[in-house]
Amino acid sequence: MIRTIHRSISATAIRAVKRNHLPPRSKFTEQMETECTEVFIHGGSGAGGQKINKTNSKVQLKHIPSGIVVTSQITRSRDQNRKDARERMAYELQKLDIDNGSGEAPRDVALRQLKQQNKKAKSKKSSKKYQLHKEVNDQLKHEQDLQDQEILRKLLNG
Amino acid sequence: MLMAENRTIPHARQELRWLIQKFGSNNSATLFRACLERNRHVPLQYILGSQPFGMLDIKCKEGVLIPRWETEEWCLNLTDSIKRSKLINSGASNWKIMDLCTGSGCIPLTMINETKNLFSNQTRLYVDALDYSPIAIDLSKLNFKTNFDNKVALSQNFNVSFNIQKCNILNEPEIIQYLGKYKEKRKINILTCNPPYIPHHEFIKDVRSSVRMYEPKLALIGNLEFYKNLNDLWVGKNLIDSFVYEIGTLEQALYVQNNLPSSWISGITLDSNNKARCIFGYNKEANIDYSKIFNHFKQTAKVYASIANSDVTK
Repeated sequence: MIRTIHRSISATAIRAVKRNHLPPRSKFTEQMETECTEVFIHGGSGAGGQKINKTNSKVQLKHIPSGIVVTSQITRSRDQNRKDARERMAYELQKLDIDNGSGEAPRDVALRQLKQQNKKAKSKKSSKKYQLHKEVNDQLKHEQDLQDQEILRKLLNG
Repeated sequence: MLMAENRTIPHARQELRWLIQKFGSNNSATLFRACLERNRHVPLQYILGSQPFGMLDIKCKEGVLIPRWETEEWCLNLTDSIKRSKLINSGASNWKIMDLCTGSGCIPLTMINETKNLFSNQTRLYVDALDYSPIAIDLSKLNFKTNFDNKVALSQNFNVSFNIQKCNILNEPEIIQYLGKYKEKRKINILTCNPPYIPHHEFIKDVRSSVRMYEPKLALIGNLEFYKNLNDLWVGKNLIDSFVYEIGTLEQALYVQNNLPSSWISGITLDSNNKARCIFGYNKEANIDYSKIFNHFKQTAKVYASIANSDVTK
């Protein structure tokens, strides 16, 4: 009983991160835009224009001061890929800026904590369920034992 | 199976992912059929039914050319240049943009989408799209509907009108007659066109099998017809102030440049694969200073610099 109380207190203390209160995603600023060069990779020097029908469109973004290069070809839309590449670049640059030793963005730290938290909550829930189940089972087993003893005693006496 | 159309395994994987996104991985029969079609070189956009173009989702159907990234690139460069020129806010006159060989309608619809906010109560944008193919007309109407609802809504929310017309562009009397119907705005500010530009002798040699087998020859094979039509009709009869035409070969661009009147300024731009892709031109004697648009357009797209010199020597 004491153990359960202790656990619940410690759990509330850790639960600081909320899914809807995460640190914001890193933003791609105007300044970053001027520091980057963008290249569209269409592969090869072969035919172009109407002669060929490409299905993918790869965007490569290079941040000149730091030399970081990100590419994106996640969707079929060049527009979407450009946005995605900028998001990734902003994320990489934020990681570069942070001097917390781990090289992790605050959002990542929070996300990791959230994941751990959820895992803990889940295991707590399942162990609780297991506990309840066990208690019921024990109870049943105890009753069964009592009945068995009763029968045994009757047999011996009879 | 997807390797028939894809050179590398990552590309094939990626296509598979898009196919799964569309058809679902548990509906294996449809997915299998889609992969089989792809194996037979059917363009991915015909299987999935669409191609992203700028901010828009352009539906694709067999019988109509699939929008290319090169077209998307210059089209967005052009709209960006129009926005930056600030010509629309300053002048009180209406604007008219016409697109020939419109196909899926990707160019005029992007023009509308990117510039619609520039037009207020005083100025109105008229966008016209012409094509000879009835399938293309139907598809461009469908694309208008999927991206903008309907004409009334567009007209109410933004000061923009859109019109699609089946027309034989190479038939001069038919064009003159069509333009004669317009009372309010006759002179075209910008004429855009992505004409069929693959010369006949290159068709078998250079064109990818997927394109050769499944995309319409009407939208692919051509050489100087539409460029001659540009010089003789649109520029020659003083119907337009400026134009942007996509090109396949440099000869086509030089043909246009060599036949322009002296009051026209022109240039050739490259795409991001360093291929000559567009010829643009504007009348420097027009009421509006189009250099404000096209000087920026030149910068966003790399310019084929040696052309101006070689032009003089000819």
